[in-house]
Amino acid sequence: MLDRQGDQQLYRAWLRAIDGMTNREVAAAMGDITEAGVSKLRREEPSRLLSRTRRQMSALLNAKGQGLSLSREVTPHGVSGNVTSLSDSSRVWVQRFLLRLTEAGVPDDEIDSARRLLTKSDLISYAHGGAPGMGALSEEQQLKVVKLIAGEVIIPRLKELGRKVSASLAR
Amino acid sequence: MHPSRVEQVLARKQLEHTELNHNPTWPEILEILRRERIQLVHGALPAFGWLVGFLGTWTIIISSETAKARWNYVALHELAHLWLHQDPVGRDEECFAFGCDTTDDREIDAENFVSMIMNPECWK
Repeated sequence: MLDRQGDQQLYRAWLRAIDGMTNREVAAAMGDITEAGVSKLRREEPSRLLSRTRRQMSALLNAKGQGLSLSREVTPHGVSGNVTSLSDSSRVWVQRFLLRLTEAGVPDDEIDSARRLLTKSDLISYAHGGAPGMGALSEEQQLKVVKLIAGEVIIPRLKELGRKVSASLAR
Repeated sequence: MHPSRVEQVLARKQLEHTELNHNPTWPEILEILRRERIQLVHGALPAFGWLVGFLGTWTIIISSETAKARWNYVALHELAHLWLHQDPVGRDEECFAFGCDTTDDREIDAENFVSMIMNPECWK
């Protein structure tokens, strides 16, 4: 049984979505998975989902208009906070940034990862120094943090992956 | 996590990064980060340091307001989180965890890890 609540939701939604589809059809829709792989996933709930499998399942759900918007990311250690507590100015900046990434031809799954990173209220993984969650920062501080993450983490990684992005997108 | 488990992880890492057998200098920490393929940047943060994962890579951000004398400590603290708490589930896994809650036991794990490196006499 999947040990992350978000993965459980995704897996069950995927099972509902593929009801009535053959394994071949599902494999074709997901891409990069064999019919045997689909059959195994269908028969037996895995203990964890690979990132790639998660993306494939999400893509299939989105294609069928059944995309999930999970409001809670579950970590191996428990449930983290709710996703959105950004100020309006930060939310607007993030959406503009993501739009620029889209216009630059960055793939959807990478844009989704960027969105998840930038909109988490407790942002990113580990902080040292007892920093408050993003929801507790001032509007100005939040905006500085999202710009920093966009410019120093997201853009460099996308460049490494060969995407045609520049640092100016994060200004 | 029991301190003995932290010690086990440190012992393994000391084999990979011999710099961890003593209190490493800043250049030595940068070399460890290079081997681990972790980026290091400085920027305006409301915390001393953050560890950020994105699409399979990891970045340590040290606040521009963190004194240079603390950089070693902060970098090792974030590395501890990566080795103790992220690696067990895989570097490609998104792990947006309780970053800012100082009552989180994982903060104790990371502090213990750094203490074992910087103050080994306390652990004898």
